[in-house]
Amino acid sequence: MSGGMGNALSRRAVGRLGATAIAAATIGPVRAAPSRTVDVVVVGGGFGGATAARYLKQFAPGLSVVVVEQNKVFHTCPFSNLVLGGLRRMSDIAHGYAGLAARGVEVVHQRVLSLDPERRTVRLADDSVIGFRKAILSPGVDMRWNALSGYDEAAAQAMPHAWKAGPQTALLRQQLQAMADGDTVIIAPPDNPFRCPPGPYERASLIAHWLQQNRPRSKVLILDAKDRFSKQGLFTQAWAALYPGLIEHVPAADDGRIVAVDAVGRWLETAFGDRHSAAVINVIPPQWAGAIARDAGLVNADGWCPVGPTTFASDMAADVHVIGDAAVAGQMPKSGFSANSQGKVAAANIVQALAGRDPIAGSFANTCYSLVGPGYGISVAKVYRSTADGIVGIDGSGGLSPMDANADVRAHEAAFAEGWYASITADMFG
Amino acid sequence: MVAREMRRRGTVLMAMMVVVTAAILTVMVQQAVAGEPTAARVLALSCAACHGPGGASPGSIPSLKGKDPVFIAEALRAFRDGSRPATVMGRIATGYSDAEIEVLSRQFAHPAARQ
Repeated sequence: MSGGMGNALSRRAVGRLGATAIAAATIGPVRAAPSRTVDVVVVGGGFGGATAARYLKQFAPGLSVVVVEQNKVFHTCPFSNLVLGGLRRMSDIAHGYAGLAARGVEVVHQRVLSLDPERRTVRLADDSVIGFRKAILSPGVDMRWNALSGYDEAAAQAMPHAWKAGPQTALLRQQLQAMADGDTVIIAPPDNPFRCPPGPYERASLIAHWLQQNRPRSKVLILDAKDRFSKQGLFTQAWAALYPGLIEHVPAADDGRIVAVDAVGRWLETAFGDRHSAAVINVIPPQWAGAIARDAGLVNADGWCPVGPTTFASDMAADVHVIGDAAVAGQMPKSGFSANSQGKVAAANIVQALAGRDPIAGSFANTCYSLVGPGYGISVAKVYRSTADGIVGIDGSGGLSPMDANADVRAHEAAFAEGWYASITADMFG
Repeated sequence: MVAREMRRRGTVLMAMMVVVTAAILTVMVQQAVAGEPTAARVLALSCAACHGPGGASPGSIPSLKGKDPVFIAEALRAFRDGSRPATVMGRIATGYSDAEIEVLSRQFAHPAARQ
């Protein structure tokens, strides 16, 4: 390389070092001052973040609210299994941010590089820095690369997780369309806790539906890290009725748990050393809170964010609130509905705090619909409250759709699943 | 004499009632306009995920917006005791007390019927 260039760089570097040394001597480590400070910064524009931003403006129109979300189009994980099953297109699960902008929320499409809880700032990928009075983090989950030996970002291009909707969903769909009749699809769900507990089994159902129509000699094999799964009785009953012989579930006790992956050789290895291969392999790996929360020191030893049950204030930092899948929200499952419900309560209590008023105990709900096939829906539901013991389910509330229900009940729940999707996406983005 | 005294007392009482009512209405209207979080509003927040923002459902789930509070409260109690058939509402309604159902029932009503 040219010496002149090197000298210029080193001169500049020396100048910068000098400035740093001077600043460090006077005001401590140099960190860029925020170019502006807003009332609330929301990191992540998904089910938690978009909802929280909308309700902040609804409760207190005068607040300045900035949502930082790297994607201009958000693809919902709910209903992404319908895309895999050929029942919806990608465009059907795509949502933009014009609705939030129209409500006075400023949406900045940037990646957040870091959050500084002490200085109450976030730094974005374009190096701009935004100060905040309160921050809401709704970063969702990250895949825990290599927690499953060999399953890293590169492996996810060969064996998609499709556990964040978007390009991964499209990739898995392409692989399904490319498989030959008679080939097998493997789905390998993780141990608890993870995003959307019934999701892998809805996915198995809707892929089986697509295979039945398009690859009638093919099968779905679920290699599970768990022995029991969400809505198990209902799924099992539905599979026997709709997809006899098409879906095989291998629990951990029968050596279903995957411990290693070879993306190049295209095989999975179980705890007892059995190897499985298939034309399409969907590995849903272990997860933890999104990087922004981990990097800011907001997580516990398991990689999730402990928060208060009423305000969702982080246990680790003042004026930073964490909602959605990244948070440890007591007994609530990691679902889009939970994140939406938490986003509203967090928004209400941030408005209360900024106005100097007392927090209001939260009331939450969650209904997780699963579509097992066209016109066949099942659900699990519960009502939750903020209590001194955390967020707890109300005794006697909630539960599962009934076993052995008639086709009419299943059809109603399928229709309500669609109604739920229309409503909750309007509640977030409308 | 006694009758006139009673009429005067009645007039004073009525005047006081009008003032008090006006004050209550003013507070209520201010609350509704400001949209500040209240315990009642927070209790009803989770309904919107299925019934749509503000109870206005864009899809197959019934809207709550503008419904008579008496109708909503009766429906919730009937879902809760199982006398009204339901898919999921029986499992949701069991999460609320009688007092909470009364509060919830007013949240989606026309503003004039809310209190």
